[in-house]
Amino acid sequence: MPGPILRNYSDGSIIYFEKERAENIYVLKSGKIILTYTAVDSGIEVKEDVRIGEFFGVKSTLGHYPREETAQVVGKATVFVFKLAEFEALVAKNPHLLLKMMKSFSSQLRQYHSKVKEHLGDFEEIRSPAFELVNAGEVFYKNNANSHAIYAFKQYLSKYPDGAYAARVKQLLEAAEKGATFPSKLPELVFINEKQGSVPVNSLQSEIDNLKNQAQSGDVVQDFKSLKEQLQQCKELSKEQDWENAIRSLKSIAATKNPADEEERATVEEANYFLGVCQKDSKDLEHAFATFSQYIKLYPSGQYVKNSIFALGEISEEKGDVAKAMALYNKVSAIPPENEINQNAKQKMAELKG
Amino acid sequence: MLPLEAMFDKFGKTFQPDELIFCEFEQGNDFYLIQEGKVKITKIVGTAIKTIDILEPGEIFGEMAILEEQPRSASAIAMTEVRVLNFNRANFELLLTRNPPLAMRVLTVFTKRLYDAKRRLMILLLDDITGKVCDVFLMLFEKQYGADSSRQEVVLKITSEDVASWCGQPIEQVEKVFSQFKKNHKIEVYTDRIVIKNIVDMQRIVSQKRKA
Repeated sequence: MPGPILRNYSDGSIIYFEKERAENIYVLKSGKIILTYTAVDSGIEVKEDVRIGEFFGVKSTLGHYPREETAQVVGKATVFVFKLAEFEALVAKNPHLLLKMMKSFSSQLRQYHSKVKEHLGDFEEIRSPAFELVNAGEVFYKNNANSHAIYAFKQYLSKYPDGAYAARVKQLLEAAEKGATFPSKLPELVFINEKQGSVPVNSLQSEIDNLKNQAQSGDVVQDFKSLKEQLQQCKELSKEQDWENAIRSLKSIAATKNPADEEERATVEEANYFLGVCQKDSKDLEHAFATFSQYIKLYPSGQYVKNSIFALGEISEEKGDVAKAMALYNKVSAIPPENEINQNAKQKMAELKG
Repeated sequence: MLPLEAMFDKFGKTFQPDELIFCEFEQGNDFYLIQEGKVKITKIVGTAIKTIDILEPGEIFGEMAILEEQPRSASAIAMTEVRVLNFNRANFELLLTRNPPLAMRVLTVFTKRLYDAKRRLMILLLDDITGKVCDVFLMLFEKQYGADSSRQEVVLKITSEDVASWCGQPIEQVEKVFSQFKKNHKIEVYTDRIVIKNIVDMQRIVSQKRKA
């Protein structure tokens, strides 16, 4: 199967309009694209940047429903255009993408569900799940679905052995198991407003969903390249001094939570360091200082600790804080194992002493 | 890639005809892919059991359990002997990464659920009950015929209770709106269906209510 095509767009081009029929899935290769949509709950118009390597147009294409946002180019942009079959072929080779998308979709779904519940308010939550389970069992029983009634009653007794309806349920369970018809003289089931206790929310969602906030339009954005490939792409961008895109992508990689394996973990660590390098090289010294400091905090035994301390020394020197620079060079010069960084630090100290 | 058959050996389950796979209001932690057989999805409505869907091989059900351990919103009953692949917290990632076509299917289901949830929220965000009722009709019309359909008269296989449930409003309130619409010959209400004489009327009302 041929792969996706690469398409160039000029400034102001519309890739697709909101409410249009969805056909393709896109990945931003370079340039800038803005997604515009109206937030459902607030009615406010929202504009979001698509990041380099980010998918967009996924949900509407997979779900066969109208586009949820307008995608417009600012400046110029180059995108990969995937037909659905090409997208499926891509994710078949990169199943980690599917999992990341699943996590993002389920996070969004959970948010929608909680908003729906909030707006339903008391309407759907008049009675407790315990009561409803008993009621379900009784309805099954009255409709001659005895085996289903038995199942429901057993579920209730297993979950709420000391619940308000336990005695009634035991009586009904016994009758159902004997094959008797629903006891006609049994008083009607009445809702008792007792505190059933909170249902333990120990969801898969809370375990797996540690992604940073995705774009509200939510086309799950994670990139079709592995993190390692993305980092490599950032290094190439930095060689071309395309600081804006390099830094943007590095921030995305650096913020990855729950890396899938050791390779991803190492890549995330390196991205956290390399972000500081790019910021320093682009003369954004304040942010660079913060980034290197953050790296040392996050990875006290990391591969780039010495590099980071040395970089902090260089930044301090550039800012004219000689005392701080000396202290940092001194610190790193003493960290084993002895290597080029130690030597460079000693040389710097000698130069600063004059 | 791990073929489905191999997965089934390890993560498969079989249910007998008429066996309850899970019960409405039971806490849920698993979701299922049907390999063989048919599964009926039912809901309790008053004192009756209403079938809301029949699922066939290749379809997924119970997937909302992946979000939270929450009460099931419906019951699932095996209509024939049914073989399912059973997903849960422990095996979910493994199953999806080892079988991408299966993962795509699950992802597509989630996409559709996401759209449905968003669409439902849009209905609930309308303040006015008439607007809500019209938007329920519109939503069901879009699902049944597609958003770009040019039909006028639409038959929706729903009841007043269904509409009330979608709107999140008491049935008495919804029936007041129905009475008004019936009086103006905009709808006909039967026990198992509602006929909308001209869906464009409903679209117009919703647009006005949304702008307000």
